[in-house]
Amino acid sequence: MAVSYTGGKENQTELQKIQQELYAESFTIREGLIEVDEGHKSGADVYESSAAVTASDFSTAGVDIATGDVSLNANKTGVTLTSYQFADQIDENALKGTRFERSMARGAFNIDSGEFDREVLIQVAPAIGEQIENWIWDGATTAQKALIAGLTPGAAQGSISAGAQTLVAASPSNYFNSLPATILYNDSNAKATPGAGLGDYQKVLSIATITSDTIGSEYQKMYLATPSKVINHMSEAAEIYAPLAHKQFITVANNQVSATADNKNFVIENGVYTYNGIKINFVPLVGFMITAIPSYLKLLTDLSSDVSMLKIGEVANGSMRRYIKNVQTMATWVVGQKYITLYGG
Amino acid sequence: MDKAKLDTKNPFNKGVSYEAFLDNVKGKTTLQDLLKKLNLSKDQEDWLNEELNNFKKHKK
Repeated sequence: MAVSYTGGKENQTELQKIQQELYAESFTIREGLIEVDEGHKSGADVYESSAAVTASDFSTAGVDIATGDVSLNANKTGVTLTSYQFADQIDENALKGTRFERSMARGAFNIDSGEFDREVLIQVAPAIGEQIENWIWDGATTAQKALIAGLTPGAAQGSISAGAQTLVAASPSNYFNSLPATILYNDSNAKATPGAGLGDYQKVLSIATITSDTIGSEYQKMYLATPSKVINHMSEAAEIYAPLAHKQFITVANNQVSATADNKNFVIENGVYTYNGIKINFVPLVGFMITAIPSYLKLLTDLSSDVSMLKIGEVANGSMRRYIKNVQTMATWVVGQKYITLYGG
Repeated sequence: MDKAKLDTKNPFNKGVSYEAFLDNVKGKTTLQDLLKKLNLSKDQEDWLNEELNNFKKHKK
């Protein structure tokens, strides 16, 4: 018997799993790789202080202020935080006629798909987390980019490298400055020359392109450029902040056929990478590396959980759409700048 | 800083900008002449060339 059918064919099965995008982990805030300081709405004053002492000849005479040998210094710098948002309206009417229609509740007014919310909408939070993680380490505001471009470049310590200016110019324009951008240019009153201008960071000279072949010698340059006080600081050990790709370069370099246990530059134990005993944190830096005491690198914010706080609700006046909104307030800052080594700066 | 005494022919001297260093490239003096006199290591020379290329691009 001949069988005829009209009306179009359709797939009879589907993969239950909806593959989700892969999002980079937001380690910086979650793991506290730098100091995250909360409770700031629009601005915060950052204080730094120091004492300098000089010995003088013994005397039984009284001490007076004119001949005193103790200098005490305290200073304040105001840091402005920026607020920004990720927000939109969601109209799931477009999902009618798809697998997501099956999870819409009965009633013509109900067009929200439970499955779509569980499988797709849920990705907004990690996508925002990835974005913020990137912003902390790469990019600058448009204004900051112009200020960095306006610095006079030179090779010696105390001047920005032309390579750093190129990196910043090519970096994304964001709502707040990344840590490298803040290290390069800031208006801290704690610098040797207080106020707006080049940061007081330690520069690494004569750097080269980093590959698995050169990574050992480049880390050595940064290590040697780091102030000895930082290397020997016991109460809070310095850490290295390096681009994500360095993990691969280091692993490849350590596993090269000619390498032996004695000449490996890096130690990898239980997933923790170190160079000469200094822990390496892999973060989304681009072109730069930092060696610093972690609390000297700061992220000022209102509430760190704002990163993952999403408000979703119905739009007013009978709309069948919903709004989704995430609001954050942030700024990066650095203290003890002369003890921060910026490779690529 | 006493700018009159600043040797701008060595870009590794503190306070010497790339602009001031390149001002020495004039007449019969080439960039290569200046670099040769500095007795730089290969790392230093490679980095400086890259820096000067970045500087020139930036200046345009």
